[in-house]
Amino acid sequence: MSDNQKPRGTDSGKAEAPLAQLKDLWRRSPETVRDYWREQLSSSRKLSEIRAEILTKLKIKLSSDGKLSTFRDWMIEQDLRDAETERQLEDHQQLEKQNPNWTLDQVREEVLTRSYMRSLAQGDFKLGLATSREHTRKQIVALEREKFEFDASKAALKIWPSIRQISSDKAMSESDKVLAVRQKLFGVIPK
Amino acid sequence: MTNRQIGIAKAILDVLHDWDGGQGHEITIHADASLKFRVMIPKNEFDEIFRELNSRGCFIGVPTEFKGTLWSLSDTGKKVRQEMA
Repeated sequence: MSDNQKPRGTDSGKAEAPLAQLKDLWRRSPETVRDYWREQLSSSRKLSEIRAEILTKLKIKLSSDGKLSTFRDWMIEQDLRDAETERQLEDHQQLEKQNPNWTLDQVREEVLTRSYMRSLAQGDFKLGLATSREHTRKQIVALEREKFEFDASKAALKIWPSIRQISSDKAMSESDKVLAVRQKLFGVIPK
Repeated sequence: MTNRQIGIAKAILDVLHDWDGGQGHEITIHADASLKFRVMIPKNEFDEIFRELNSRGCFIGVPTEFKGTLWSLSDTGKKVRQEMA
């Protein structure tokens, strides 16, 4: 990523956001330059220091460490995609060697199938993570409910005489009784 | 375009949209779009729709020395995707 890049714009005429500028620059940069920034982003340097260096060398001002962190995640995903492309090329060469009578279409079909299976496995992993997160969230909700029910039972025991009194009040309707007990247990009920 | 073709086109554009400015090889796009489409898209169908979207200016293709052409989503592609939503 060299420092003599002209500011870029979008079709709408607006200037590109700094993060988009950085991604664009990354796509157009040679591997040696990318390696330098990969090294910086995986080092123990503070993100704020790296941001300052990006501003000085690339004239791109990232407003927060979070933006640089987002860029780092994006960069890792892009590197994984590049690795997948290299894997496809390897598969291609290997399949051509192993099957000299195959047409190019047959080779490509097999490369694609292998890539698809890898994507599927990765997709399943991501899906598994999402499912696991959802499971954890449901467990937390269930625990909170249990805790609430336990607290409510304890509170009910404390005010048991009042509850019995409300319950036996013949002048009150059933819904008034429920409201009165709720008010005793939880205080003022929000409307 | 038939509904199926529109579905495939949308899957292709969604893949590139998810890459958020990233780029990748046509085979990676094909594999990931198939994943979105929930079934492997036949090569001839994918190629036809990919060519059609490319002719509409939906992609930016950068030829590389060793990895073939790497593709990302253009501003036109973003608009076409929005229109399909």
